[in-house]
This record gives sequence, structure tokens and C-alpha cells, in this order.
Amino acid sequence: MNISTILLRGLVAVALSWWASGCRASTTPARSAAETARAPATIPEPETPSVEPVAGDAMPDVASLLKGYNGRDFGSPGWRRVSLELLNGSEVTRSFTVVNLFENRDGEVRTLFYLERPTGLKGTSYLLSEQGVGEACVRVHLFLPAGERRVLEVAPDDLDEGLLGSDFTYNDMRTLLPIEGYDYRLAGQTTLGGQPAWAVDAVPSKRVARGATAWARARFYLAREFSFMLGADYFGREGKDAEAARSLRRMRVETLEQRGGIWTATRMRMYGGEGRTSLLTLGDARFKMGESAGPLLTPESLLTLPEQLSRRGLTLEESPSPQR
Amino acid sequence: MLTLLLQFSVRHPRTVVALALALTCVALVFIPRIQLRLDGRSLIPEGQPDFAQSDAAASLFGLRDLVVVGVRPGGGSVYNAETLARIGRLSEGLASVEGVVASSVLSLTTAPRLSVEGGRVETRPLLEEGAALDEAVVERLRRETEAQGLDDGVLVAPGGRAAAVVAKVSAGADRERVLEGARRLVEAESGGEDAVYLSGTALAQAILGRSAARDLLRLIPAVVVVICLTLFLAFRHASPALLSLAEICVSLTWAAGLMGLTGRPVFVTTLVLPVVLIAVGVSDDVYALSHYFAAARGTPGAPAAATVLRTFREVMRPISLTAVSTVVGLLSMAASGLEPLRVFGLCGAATILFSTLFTFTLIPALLVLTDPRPAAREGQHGGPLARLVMRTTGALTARRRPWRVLALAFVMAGCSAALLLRLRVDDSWIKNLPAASDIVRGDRFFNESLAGTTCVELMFDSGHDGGFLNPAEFAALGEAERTVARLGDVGATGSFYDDVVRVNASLRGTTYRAFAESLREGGTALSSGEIEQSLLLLSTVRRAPLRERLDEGFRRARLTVFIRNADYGRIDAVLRAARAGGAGESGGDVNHADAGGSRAVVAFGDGWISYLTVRLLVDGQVYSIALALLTDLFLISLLLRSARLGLVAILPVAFSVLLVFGALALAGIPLGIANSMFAGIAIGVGLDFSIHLCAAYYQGRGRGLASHRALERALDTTAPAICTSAVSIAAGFAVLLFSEVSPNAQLGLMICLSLLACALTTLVLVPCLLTIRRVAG
Repeated sequence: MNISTILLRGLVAVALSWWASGCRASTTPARSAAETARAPATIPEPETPSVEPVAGDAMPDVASLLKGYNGRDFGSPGWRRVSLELLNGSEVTRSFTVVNLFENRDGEVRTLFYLERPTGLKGTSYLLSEQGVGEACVRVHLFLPAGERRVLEVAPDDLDEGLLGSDFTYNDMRTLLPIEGYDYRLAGQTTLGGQPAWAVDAVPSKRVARGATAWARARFYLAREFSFMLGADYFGREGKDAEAARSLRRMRVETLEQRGGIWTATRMRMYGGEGRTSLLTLGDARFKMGESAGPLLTPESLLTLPEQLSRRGLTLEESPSPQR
Repeated sequence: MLTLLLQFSVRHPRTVVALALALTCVALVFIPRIQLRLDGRSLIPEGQPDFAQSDAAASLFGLRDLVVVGVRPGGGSVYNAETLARIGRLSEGLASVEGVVASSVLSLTTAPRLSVEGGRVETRPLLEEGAALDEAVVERLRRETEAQGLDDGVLVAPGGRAAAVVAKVSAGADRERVLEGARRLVEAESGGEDAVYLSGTALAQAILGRSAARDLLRLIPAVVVVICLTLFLAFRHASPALLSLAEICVSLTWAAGLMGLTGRPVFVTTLVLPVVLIAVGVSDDVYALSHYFAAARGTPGAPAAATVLRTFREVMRPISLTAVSTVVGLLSMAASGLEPLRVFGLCGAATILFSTLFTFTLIPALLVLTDPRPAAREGQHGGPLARLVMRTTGALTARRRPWRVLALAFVMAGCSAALLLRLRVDDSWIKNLPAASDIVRGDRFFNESLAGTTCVELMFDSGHDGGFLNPAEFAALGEAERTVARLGDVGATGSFYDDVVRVNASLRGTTYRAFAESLREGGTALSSGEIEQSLLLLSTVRRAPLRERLDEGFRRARLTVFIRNADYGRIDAVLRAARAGGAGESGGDVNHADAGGSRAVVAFGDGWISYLTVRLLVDGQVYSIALALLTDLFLISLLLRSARLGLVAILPVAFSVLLVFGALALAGIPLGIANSMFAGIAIGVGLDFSIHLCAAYYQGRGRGLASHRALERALDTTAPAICTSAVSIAAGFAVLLFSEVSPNAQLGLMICLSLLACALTTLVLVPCLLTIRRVAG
């Protein structure tokens, strides 16, 4: 083999490999910058349980189911710290750390949400007061620590807006299911997250209830063997937007456990559509605290919350960090 | 190669025809895969460097095309129950239109607000479905709208003189359906006292797409008839027209099949491609067939195959050269940065290549099979026009006159070049519609009564996550917004800065304008905590477009600038102001700023596309015309072995293109995407005339003829074909004058003018130049 043949073969090999690399490149469509920015990694779809109708003796009374759920022991007075992550696909776009204080006093449940992180929002607080009965059964007060330092009440019609910009709403944070103004119906039985559950459908039937909810119908999945909500599906108004009518949002409890005899979710995700989800993860929790949290759970006390929480050892700096 | 193909075609005509038909059937299969692109973004190729950042910004903020409905209240103000109810119905109706993003509909009745009254914070629209529209509610709406500064011309004009309903069009939506749905809605609401208008680029695109498709159906038969007629009149025989059109039909089918196969889309501006290519493709056939028919008349008994072989061999060189020049002219468009011009250039070049191939294969085969026998004609061939031209040329090239002709040409070229400085370059979907169109009327209403229909979007990059929580960065954004808003043609501006100011004004119980003024004067300042707190409040409002105005990391902010009667100059002024006000000390150019630097500004959106289109068009025109002329000069000089002769051949077409540009500037017609295609076509086709003349002159000189004899002979053999070709092609293009799309009509007129000017210049200027310079072959 002479030198020219070797050179020729070498050139042919280089040309072929160059051509082949071009072919490989051209068979995979190049992604534009826009497409790359638009396409977050996807997360799995929420579990969609199939609901079987129940009849006869096996069918429980829906009113007693709701009563059992609202009357459950949720560890009042209690305290927990959660992290809330806003996700686009699998990418976390924002995260918050929230201290939660709650107490059931004579049927009225008050829950405080105190923002610890991000630091720029530290001290921002929401106070949710709810009663199982009554049309206007829930009120939310908000304290904004910067600037005017005012306590404001969130209008009842806005309670289905996104809490902290997440897919959870103020209403999703309720401990009790509202009774008045809604029609409930047992849709059947199912299994969700490996737990047997009742599927209960709710439709806001009165004007106030319709005004306070962005959904036209909801399906709640209540655990059959203990009083706990395992998931919820919210549907839009039929005929207005076909996509919304299918599903506005879906909540799924991904993990749960008993702490001190109280069932609590340790991971809960709300699916908001278009690849967006919001994930609540439990860090610390303490139930049935001896001391009443009542003095902290008033709109007026929101102004001095940081000091009061600090005194109780509930600030991030003085208590264990949230564990994932 | 062509000689071998010619010989094969003459010997095996049936095989050639069968093969051409079979491959045409294969090409037909791929034609349905061609897609019509109507969106503005498709005008600019994916890989355009200026656009990479814009694409990312558009995607980051979820930018979509808009449909806008305007209401001019009969009573002078929109703040009355009837008009507000109408706006409510229009908002609901628009949300139900197929292809419209239902949740995106924004109007006075659906816009979220963040008001604080009596210690209660409310975010829901005041007039949500079912709300009673009594006097108190109407008055409260007016008060809140004005207090929050929402009467800036976007959703409602100051004093409530006009209002708008704005909605996004879903990605991939059928714009025709959106147009139909929106028109039905507007029609249903047009009966009352209020006038209702419709506009939006997406709708203009749908109308143009529809008009262009209708054009295609009407103009193709028309151009076929016109060309048949002119060829019949020129040859006094039906065969040339039929053969030429059959050949063009097969070429176009192959080119269209290739487009389908390679996934090349068609655009509104390139839908006329078949009409243009039918006219262009005829050019070479005219030369070949006129040679054949002249020979057939001269030797009536000779077998067709022999005549075909002889005559087609004779024209092979000039036709190959003219084909190359046409391909170069068309391919020069592919050098443009605009996708429609690139597609037009590439597909046009492919068609001409196919057409040239068929000129030496399919046409000879068909000639052999059909054996057309032209009747012998008395005297010299060529029509009266050709004879007139030849007499005129003879007179002009007589002693001393050539100098006068050249001096006149020089003056005309100088005037055209001077006029060129006044040439306006502009393109707009809406301006391309007929003035009587409802969309144009709507556009006029929005530009006169509201903030305008063209938006330039600007993305300000603070350089790091959380950057816009920094009060200094936040204030700089406000300052940039104010700088841009001060420009006279800016209708309105909007950014998250305004939203944050609104929230804080509400929390403080003051009006938006008073608080904004206080911030501007330094009487008040917002802390980082207040900015973040406001964003938290805004993020709870689902309908609030916070994510469309600020990215999730608070690093990049979007500023929307509405421009009235936008054109290149007005958009340029906005971009300059943004650069001055936003880039600050980093001094970065818009879309060229260092991504790592502070306050880099990236422009995107409709206005930017239109601005960039014009810039690419100007750059592309300069580059592609220069490229085409230089390439042609090189090739012709090489083939004619004379740089001087090459230059002489190039001059007529360069001169005629310059003249048409001058005429365009004089008439005040802007150069746009569609009509700019004339230069490439004119160079490609017009150059054929001088190539044929110069090649004939070169052949004459090569046979030892004296210069003046060679010129006489060249004129004698080519002038009739040049006249026939110029008239038939110009007649073909004249059909475009009846196009519903005005740029296409302008394109037709400009090509006609340039081709006729080019033919005339070739027959006058080239002989004068050859007479003066005694250019040697």
C-alpha cells in the first residue's frame, strides 16, 4: 500500500465520519432556546382512582361521614413546621418555610400560618378561622410586616385564590369540611395511595358558597379506616372550558403517618395543571401541646407574633430544622 | 451532460415522457405535506442569532398572539350599565371562541384588581359573572379603575372614551376559526349604540392567508391564459405555449414535492410562488422554441428529431448561462435572514433547475412526439415590436448618439440612487390588508382611541436571582419605563413595577398616580420587604399576569410598550430609549448586552419581529443583490471570457433594478417582504436578455465578424426573442396586479416594470456600450 492510498483512505474515513456526525446531528431536531426554556422535566400524573358505587347496608350515611371527619382528633392544640415548594415540572421555582399553629376551641378551629422563609417575607402571617357550620364559615386575616404593618381581612370571595402563589388555596388549608351551602353525595368507594377510601362529591349549592369557590364540583377521598382526607379533585364549570371541566386541581397525600396517635400527612402534593405542582412536606410536628395557643390565634396578635413565637421556641433559629 | 440528455430524449421520447410523468406522480404524494405558516415568528429562522434570546424571553413570559376587541361607547363613556354589560358579554364570548385561551381574557369586567377598603383586601374582578350592574357598582368601577391607573389605554382609555377586550390565541390554534368566532361575536354585539371593533395580528394573518389562497386559485389560471395568449401571438402556433406550460407544470410539481419532502413551509408572501415561477420558467423555453420554430420554418421537410437536436444544441450554452443567472438571482434571496425569502429563493431555484432540465429533455421529447409544423412566414421573423426596437437601436448607435444615451442613463441612475435614500422599508401584517377590511378599521380605532396594537416587549435582566427585589433595580425598571413612556408615539407601558406600585398605593389608601409620582420624586421609596410582600399578594391572584411580567426567580422583568401606528422608526426610538433608560451604565445594546452584566435588555414580541424583519430585509437586500450581481458578473465573464463583456451584460439589469427602487421611493411605497422579492426575480430573469445578446455578439466575434457586424447579427437573432420573452413574462406577472394581497400586486407591478426596463435597456444600452467600447470577444 503506497502513501497516496493511505492518505486517500484516511481522507475517506475522515469524510465518512464527518458525514456520519452530520447525519446524527440532523436526525435529532435541534431544540431552540425557546423550546428548552419551555420544557420542564415532567412529573408523574396523579393517581386517578376508579370509584365503585356502593349500595345497601354497606353504604354509609354521607352526613355521618362528614361529621366523623370534622369531629376527628387532629391533635389540637398543635404545632408543625412545613416546607412548601412550588414546582414547574421537577424544578423548584420557589420555596417557603411555614410554622403552623392550630387549636380547636369550642368547635371553632383557628390555624396560624407564619412565614419563616424566605427571609424577605419573614413575619408574614395568615390566620384562618373556621367553623363547621354557617354560610360564612371561614375568615382569613393577613398580616404584612413591611411598610404599613397592617392586618387585613381577605375577602370571602378570594379564598380560592392561590396561597403564597401556590396551587393550594386558603380553602385547601381548612381543617374542617364546610357543611352549609354545599350538597354532599357519596359517590362510592375506592382505594387511594393504597388506602381504602370513600369518594364524596360536593357541589356548592348556595350563592355564598359558589362565590367562595372557584370549582363547580369537588370529590374528596376520605379514608375509610380512620378520619383523614387522602386526596381531592376539583372540577370547573361544565360547558365553559372543556379542559377546566375535567379537572382544575388535584390534591394527593403522598405519605402519611401517625405521630403521638394523630394521623398527619408528611407529604402532600397539589397538581395545578400545565406541569405545575405544589408540594407540602412536614418537618416538625407537635400535637396536643399542654399550653393553649389561643392568645396567639387572634387577628390582633398577628402584629406581635415574631416575639411571641420566639418565646415559645417556635422560630427556625431555635428549633430543629425541617427534615425532608 | 445536457447534450447526452438531449440526445437520449430525442432518441427515446416516450421513455422520457413516461419517466417524467411517473416522477411527477411521486412528487404529487408529498405536496399535501406542505404547511402554511401564518405566525409572525415563522418569518425569522430558528437559528437567527439576534433571536435566540428573544425566543427564550418570549417563552419565559408565555408570550402569545393576541385578539383584541374594541368598544367605542355611543354615549361617550364606557361607564354605563349597557356598555359594561356589552363588555362583559364580549369577554365571556371571546373566552368561548375556539382557539382563544379562555383564562387569558382581560377586560374591565374580568381584570383582577387588588383593592383595600375598610381593612379588607379584595382581588376578584368587580363585575364577575352575575354581578348586578346598578349605578353604584358602575360608579365604583369607574372610581377604582381611575384610582388604580387602569385607564391607561390598554383596557380602557382615559375618561372611559373607549375600552378593549384582550385575549391570547392558543399556540397552534387554527387562526381561521379564531377569526370566524371573533367576527361572529362582534357582529352579534354590533347592533346597539356602541361601535364594536376587531383587530389583532393573528386575525390579520388569517385574512392574508385566506386572501393568498384565493389568489392562488384565481391567478394561476389567469397567468396560464395570459402566457398562452402571448406565446400564441408571438409564434402563431399553439404548440410552444402548450409545451412550455406542460414543462413548467411538471417543474412546479417536482419543486412542490421537494418542499413537502423537506418540510419547507409556505408563507402568505410565498403563496404566489407558482404564479411567479410559471412566468419565470417560460423564459428559457421561449428562446429554445423560437430557435426551433425559426429552423423548422426554414427547413420544412427536415425530420423533427434532427431539427430539435441541432437547434437545442445551439441554444444550450446561453440557456444554461441564463438558467445559472436565474438560479443565482433566486438563490441570492436564500442569503436573506428572512424565512419566506429563503424558501422562495430555494424553491424557486429548484424549479428553475428542473425547468432547465426539462427544457433539454421533456420539451425535445414532446417536440419529437408531436412534430409541430409551423407555417412558413414571409420575411424576417420577429413581430413589429422587435422590428421597431431594432430600428431604434440602429438609430441610437449611430455616430455620437451612444454617448448621449449613456449620459441620459447616467443621469437617470444618479437620480434613482438619490431617491434610494428616501426609500422606506416597512412591513406589517395589518397594513398589508385592504383599507376597507374590518381588521384595518379596528387597528385604526385602537391606534386612535386606545394604546395601539403593536407591542414591543423588553426583558430587563438584573443579572442575579432576586435582583428585582433590590430597591435600586426596582427603581431603575421604573425609570426605564418612564423614559420609554415619555416618547410621543408610546400609547402605554406595563410592567410588574406598575403592579407593585398599585398594590402599595392601595395599602396606603392613595391613588396609583399619586403614589407613582411620589416614588418618582423620591418622596417615598419601597423597601425590599415591601416589594416582595407586594409580589406575594400579586401571586395569590390567579388571573394577575405576574408570571407573565416577572420570572419566578425575580431576576428578569418584562416591560410591555404599546406603540401607536408603529413603524420601524417608532420601534427604533423605543429600543433606543430602553437602551438609554434600562441598560444604564452597562451600556449594553438591546439583545447584544452581556448576559452576565447588569440590566441587560432583550427585545422580543410582535414589534421586535417586525423591527428585525425590516433590518434583515435591508441587510438581505443589500447583500443578496450584491451577491447576485457579483456572482453573475464572475460567471458571465468566465463563460464569455471577457470581464468587460460580463460588465456590459450586468449593467442593464442593475440599472433597471435601481430605476424601480427609485420609482418605489418616489411613489412612497415601502419595501416589504413580498415586494422585495422583485430584485432577485428581476436579476434572475432580466439578466437573460443581455446574456443572450452578449452571447450572440461573442459568437459573432468568435466567427471573425467585425464588431458592428457581430452586433447587428446578435440583435437580429436575439431581439425578437427578448421582446417576446419580456412581453410574455411581464404579461404573466401583470396578473399579480389583480391580487387581493397588496404587496403581491406591488410585486407584480415592480417585476413588470423592471423586466420591461431591463429588456429596453438591454436593447439600447448594451449596443451603445458595445459600440463605444468596441468590446472584444
